[in-house]
Amino acid sequence: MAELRCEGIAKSYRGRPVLAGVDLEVPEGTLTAILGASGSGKTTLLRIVIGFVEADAGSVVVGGELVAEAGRLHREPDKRAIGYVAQEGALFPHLSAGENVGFGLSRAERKRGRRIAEALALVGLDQAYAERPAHELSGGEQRRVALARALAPRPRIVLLDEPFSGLDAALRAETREAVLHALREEGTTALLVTHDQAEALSMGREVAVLREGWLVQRASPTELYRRPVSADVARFVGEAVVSPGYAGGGHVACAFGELEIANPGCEGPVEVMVRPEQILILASSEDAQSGAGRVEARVVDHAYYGAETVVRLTLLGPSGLTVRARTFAHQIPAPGELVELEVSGPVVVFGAPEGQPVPAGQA
Amino acid sequence: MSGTSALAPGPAQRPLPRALRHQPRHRRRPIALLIAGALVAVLVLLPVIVTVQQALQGGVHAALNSIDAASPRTLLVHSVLVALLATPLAGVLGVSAAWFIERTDLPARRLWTLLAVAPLTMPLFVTSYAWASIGSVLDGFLGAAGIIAFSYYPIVFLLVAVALRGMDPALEETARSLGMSARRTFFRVILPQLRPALLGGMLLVVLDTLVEFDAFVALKYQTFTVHIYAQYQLSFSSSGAAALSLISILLCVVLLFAEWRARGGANYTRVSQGVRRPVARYRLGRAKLPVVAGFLAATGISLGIPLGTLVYWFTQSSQAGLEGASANVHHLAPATLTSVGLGLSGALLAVLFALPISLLAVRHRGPAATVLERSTYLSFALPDLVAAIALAYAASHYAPGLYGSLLLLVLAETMLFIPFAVVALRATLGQIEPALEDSARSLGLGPLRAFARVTLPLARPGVAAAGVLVFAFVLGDLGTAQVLLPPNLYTLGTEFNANSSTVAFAAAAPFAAVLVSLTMLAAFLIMDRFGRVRTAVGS
Repeated sequence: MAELRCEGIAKSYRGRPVLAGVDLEVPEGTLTAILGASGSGKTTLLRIVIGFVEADAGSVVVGGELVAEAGRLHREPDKRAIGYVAQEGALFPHLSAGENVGFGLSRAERKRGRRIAEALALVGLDQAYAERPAHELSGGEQRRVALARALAPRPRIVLLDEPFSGLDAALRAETREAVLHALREEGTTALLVTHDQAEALSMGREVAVLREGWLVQRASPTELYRRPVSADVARFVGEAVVSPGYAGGGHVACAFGELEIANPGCEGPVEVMVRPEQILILASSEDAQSGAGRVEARVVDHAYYGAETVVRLTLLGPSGLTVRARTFAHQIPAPGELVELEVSGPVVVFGAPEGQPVPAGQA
Repeated sequence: MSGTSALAPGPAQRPLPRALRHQPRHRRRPIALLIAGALVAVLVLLPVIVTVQQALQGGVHAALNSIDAASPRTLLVHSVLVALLATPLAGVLGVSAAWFIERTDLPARRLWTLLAVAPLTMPLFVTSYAWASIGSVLDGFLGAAGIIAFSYYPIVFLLVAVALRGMDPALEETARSLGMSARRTFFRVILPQLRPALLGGMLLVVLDTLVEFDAFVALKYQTFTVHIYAQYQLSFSSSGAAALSLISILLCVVLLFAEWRARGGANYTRVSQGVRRPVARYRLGRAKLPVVAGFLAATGISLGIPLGTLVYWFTQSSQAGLEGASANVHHLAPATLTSVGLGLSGALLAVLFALPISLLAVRHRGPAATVLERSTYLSFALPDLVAAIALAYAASHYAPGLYGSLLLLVLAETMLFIPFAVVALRATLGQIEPALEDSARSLGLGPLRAFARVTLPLARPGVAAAGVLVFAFVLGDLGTAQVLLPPNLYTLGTEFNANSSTVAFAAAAPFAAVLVSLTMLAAFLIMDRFGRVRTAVGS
C-alpha cells in the first residue's frame, strides 16, 4: 500500500508552470528519491506535500487520508504528521540538540526524555549530545539531529530536502548511511529530494525523475539507469553516449557496429544509448581481425582517477563520434594510440527524437 | 518494485525562467494576520481619514480656496529644500558611520555605535532648544537642515549596520579578489546591496522632516508644517488647517510610492543564507586619525551641542532658577512616572501592532502586505498636532469615553511611532530563516505556537530594541502630549518645556537630567540589540 500518493499535482507561479500534473506514489516503508535539476519543481512538490504551498490542482493522500485537494481541502502542515528535514537541517539555534529533538513531542514525553534518547540513538548519536547547544554541532551532526527531530514524533512519512548539501564527500557518505539506517530501523516511509544522481540512485528504492515540472520516469535505480525512457533522462541520470542507429529484428546498426537491443519493439531509425562503462577498450590492435561489434578508435586523451580512468576516444569509422569510456585496467592507452572498442551487453534505443512524447511502455 | 513506467508525456523542453529557480516563499494566505494587519492599518489611518473629512466638510471647492488663500507655495518650497539637504546628509552620515564601525578596525567601535545611536533618542525639543540658544548662527535654513540630519542619521545608521552585518562576506571578498579597491568594492558591491536599507532609512528621515514642527519654530524657519500650526493658533480654523494637511498627505503618499518603486520591492534585509563568518576588517592605517576626527565632529554636533548647552545653562542659572529647581523636585517623580508609563505602554502597543504588519512584509510578500506596510507610514502624513486634534475630534464624537483619557494619548503615541517599530521588526524578523518556522510546523505546531516557541525567542533582542526605540520616541514627544495629556498630568517633556526659559533654566534641569539619562539608557539598549536575532546555526 502506498503511504503517500500524489495525483495530478500542478502549480504555477505568476502564470509560469512549475509542476505540470505530477502523479507520485511512495510505497510504505521505502524511500523514494525525487531527482531533478534546480528549477525542476522538486522542492515545490515537497512543499505541496507537506502543506507549505497549496497546489493549483491535484490531491495528496498520506497514509490513506486525504490531506490536500486543490480548492477543496488543505490540512495545515502541523496537522499532517509529516516529518520534514530542511536543507542544512534548520536546527533551532536557541535550543540544545536534545531540546531540538524533543521539540515536536508532547510535554510529558519531553520530560520523560526516553523518546529523545531513542531518536538520538537512531541517528547514531549518544545521550551526551542532548546537552550540546545546536551551534556547537558539526555539519554532519546537525543533519543527524535534524533527522532525529523529524523522526521523534513518529511521523507517517519523512520528507528530506537535499539533506546532505554542503557536506564534504566523506561526511556525506557517512551521514547518508546513518540516515538510511535510522529510516530502516523505524520503518519510516521517506521522500528525498536531490539533484545528485549518485545520491538518488544509491538511496532510493525507487527514483522519480522530475524534468521541467513533469515526472518523466519512476523506476528502481537499476531500471532507471539501464533503461531510461528518453535520451534526456539517460543523460540526466548518468553519462551517456547517444548516437543515431537503425533498428530491426532485435538488433541495431550504429557507429559501434551491430548491437543487441535491450528494449526490443523499435524498428527503423532510432537513437542508441551506450553507457561509458559498457564500452570496453581492448588491447591495442595487435590482431586486426575486426569482428562484429568491434570498432577501431584513436585515443584522444585520458583522465586518471586512481581506481578508474576515463579515456576519450574518436571512432575511426564514418561516424567520427567522440566517446568516453571507463576502464579499470592497469594498462592505460596513451593518447594517439589505436585501440579496438567493444560494447558489452545490450543497449537501449529510443524510437523518437529527443523531446518528443515517449508513449508509456515503450521503453 | 521494478518495471519502468513512463508516467507523463516528455517535458515541454522549455527552460524555466530564472526567477522560478528561486523557491518562492509563498504559502497559504494568512487570513488571521491579514485581518490583524488591516485593523492596525485602519487605526493608523484614522487621523488621516478624520482630517480628510474635516478638510472636505465644506466641499472640495472650499478646501481648494482655503489652500489657495494660504498661498503655501513658498512654505512648501522651504519644507522641500530642508528635506533635500537633510535627507542625503543623513544618508551619508549614517552609511559612513555604519561602514566604518562594521567594516574597519576603528578603535572603540562599541562606544562609537552608542554615540551614533544616541542622537535618535535625544528628545528633539531638547536639541532644538540647545541649537536655538546658541544664537542666530544656526537659525534659518542651514540650522533646520542640520538639526534634522544630525538627529535622524542614526535611523539610517541602524538599518544600514544591520544590513552590513547580514551581508555575505564572500561577495566582498570576491570583489577584492577581482582586483577592486576597497573604495570601488564599496560603491560597486556594497552600496547596491545596501540600497533597500538606505532608502528605507532615508524615507523615514524625509517624512519626519516634512512634518517636523518644534525644531523649525525654535530655529525660526518657516515651513509648511509651521504654517499649519499657525493656522490652528491664529484662526482656530480646523478646516483650513485640515485643508492644508491634504497637501501634506498627498506628499507623503507620493514619497511612499516613489521609495517603493526605487527599492524595486526588495526586502529591507535579505535573508542571508550560509554561514556567518566574521568579516575581515579593513585597516584604517593613516586614515585612522581623520576618521576618528570625523566621528568626534559628528558626535560633537549631534550630542555635544544639546548636552553642552544643558550643562552650560544649568551653571549659568540665576538664583531664581535654582529656587525653581528645588521647588520643582517634587514634580519630578510624578512626571517621570507618567512619562515612563506612557513610554512603556506605547512601546508595548506599537510592537504588538507592528508585529502582524512586519510578519506579513517579511513572510508573505505580496500586494496586500505591501499596501498594509505602506499605510502605516501614513502616520507621518500629518503633523503631530493635526493628528492629535483629529484623534481628539474623533474620540469626542464617536468614543466619548476615550476623550480626555490617558489611553487616547497612548494610542496616539503608538500610531505616531508605529513605522519605526515596523522598520525595526522587519530588520529583525527578516533575518530568521523561514526553514525554522517550517520545521516547527512540520513537527505539529500551529502558526501561533510556532511563532511563540521559535520566532519570538529568536527575535527577542530585536523585538526589545524596537520597543525601546518607541519608548524613547514617546519620551521625546511634546506635540501630541500637549494636546492630549489629561489635565493635572504632566510629563518630563511638558515640564522641561514649561521651565526651559533661559533665565530660570535650572528649574528645567531635573527633568532634563532624568530625560537624558533615560534616553541614553534607551540608546544603549538599542545599540546592543537593534535588528539582532539569535544567530541561525551554520553548518
